[in-house]
Amino acid sequence: MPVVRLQNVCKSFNNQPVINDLNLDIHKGEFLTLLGPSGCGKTTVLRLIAGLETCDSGTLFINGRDQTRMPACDRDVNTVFQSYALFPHMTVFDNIAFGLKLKKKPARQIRERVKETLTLVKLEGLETRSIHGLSGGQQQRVAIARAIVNQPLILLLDEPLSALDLKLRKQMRLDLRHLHRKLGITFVFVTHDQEEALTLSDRVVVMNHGTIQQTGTPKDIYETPVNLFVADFVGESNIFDARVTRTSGSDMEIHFQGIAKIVQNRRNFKSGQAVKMLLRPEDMTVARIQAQCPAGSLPGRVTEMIYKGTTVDLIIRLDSGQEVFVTEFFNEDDQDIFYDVNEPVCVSWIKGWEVTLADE
Amino acid sequence: MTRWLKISWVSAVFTFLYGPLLVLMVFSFNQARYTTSWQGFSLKWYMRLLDNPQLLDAFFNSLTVALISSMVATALGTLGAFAVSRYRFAGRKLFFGLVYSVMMSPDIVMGISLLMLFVLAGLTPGFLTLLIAHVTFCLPFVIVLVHARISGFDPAVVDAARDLGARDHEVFFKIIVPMILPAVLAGWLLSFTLSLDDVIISFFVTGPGFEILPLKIYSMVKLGVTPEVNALCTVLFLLTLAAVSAAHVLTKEIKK
Repeated sequence: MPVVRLQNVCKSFNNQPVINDLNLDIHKGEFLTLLGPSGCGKTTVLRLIAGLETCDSGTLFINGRDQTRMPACDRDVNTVFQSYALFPHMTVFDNIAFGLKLKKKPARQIRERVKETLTLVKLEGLETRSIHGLSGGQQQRVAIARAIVNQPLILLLDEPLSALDLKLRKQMRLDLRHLHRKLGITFVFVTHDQEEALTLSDRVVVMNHGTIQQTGTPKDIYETPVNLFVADFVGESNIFDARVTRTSGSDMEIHFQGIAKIVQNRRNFKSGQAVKMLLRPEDMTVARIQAQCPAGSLPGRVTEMIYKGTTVDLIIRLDSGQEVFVTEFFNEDDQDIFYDVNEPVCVSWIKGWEVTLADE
Repeated sequence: MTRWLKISWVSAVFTFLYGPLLVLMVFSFNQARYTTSWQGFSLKWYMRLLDNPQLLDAFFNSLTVALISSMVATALGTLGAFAVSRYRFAGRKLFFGLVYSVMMSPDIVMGISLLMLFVLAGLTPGFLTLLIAHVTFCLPFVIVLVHARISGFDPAVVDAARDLGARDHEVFFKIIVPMILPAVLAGWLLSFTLSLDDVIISFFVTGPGFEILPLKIYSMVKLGVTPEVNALCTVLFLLTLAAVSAAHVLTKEIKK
């Protein structure tokens, strides 16, 4: 039984539909990320689960019970807000103890639980500090502590890392993972940062315009995107227009950029069909041109070389005029990945690493 | 040399600002009746105040009006501030502009226009008209102060409180009230002092049956500045000073 089930949920603000007939199951104990551009409805989904918004139609089950109309204060769900939303007139202790005090827990138990939680988020001994004296990272931890101290069934996190600087953000990512493992509760995390989504989650839900585009493990989402939106939003892609010219078993021949190439046919495309072919920058290889490019590879010229320490990014203008983006890794056997601008090269990839999608 | 210059400059500024007040206060303890020369320390003028039933009446009238009008203005102003900061309605900007214009408009204009209004409405000048007038000119200050406080805090804290299990009344008493309280108290104290020492507007809107302290002092001064007046002014000044300092401390709290 899923811990949260959204069934045919719709929500609109001022007659603007934000969530369209959304169906989603969230499993107990998983780290699920809602990923999408701003305005895609991901935060609204979170607020619906929290009870801070109510569904226009559809049903929301929490732990198997219909809680569509249950007010936020009665739900076994806690939220870490993007702005942290700490209570400025209270100390760290009072902020964290707020939920427990409302539940009328005995004072001794509250003290112990707050202390434990502060240790968990690495803020030991800050009980009496005022909120104003804390750094952004510390405020963030207080916000997390305030939510998890109540031992909720589900912890909702609304872009909690977006206000932190890069270094702190990376540290907090690790800390969140540890926390998730230690607490064993369900985390639902909202972000527009694909890297965050990929590194943190057990499962990623990619959203756009209030509908789910794809649900899957980070690997699924990155390696086998189901449509152009997902492919384009998660990671970088080179997208080619192509046409299927022949099919045979699990393979097919496609025509694109003036060449023909045999690729895998995973989606049962028919001969004559227009398709889009996607290649990740790191899946493509570049070679110095010999006399002529071997069959099935694309001739072009280097227009830009960007040295990034562990990788070298190349922008290559193909002879057809299209630009492609290729990432080359340093490796022991092949030190020679530096190219001159305007140097003629061949671009190719290993069959099967491409993703082909129907032309929408 | 520059040090002496600095010190004398600062003393000049302070003398300019507080000299008159100091003279008034010192002479309220003077023995002599009609002279501006010092004739020894005495508390008799303060005792004399207590023996003057008319003065005491005016004093209590002033306190009553100040207390009630400041409380009414605070209650209405807080609600008004909430309306302006939490809801979007037609004429919201206009309303806020009008609030400032009431704050800025000259007392004499306010006084005369209120008087005309009361006359047209058929109200006899007295306690009620005075009260309404004082609420009117205190209201904008409360609205501006409380509004600043409300817009200073993150609206998500209300969501956070609900999310942590607070019901509507708990959100109100545990989150909203404590957060806006400094501004509300500051507004209240400010209104209290504004009401307590207003002369011009009160002059137009009160009647002969209801005398208040600033007007009483004003009429006493027409017969010459007596040590009694000095003593009275000292009391009034200290009262205002206390309220203003309290309001100042609370406003500082707001800015945190």
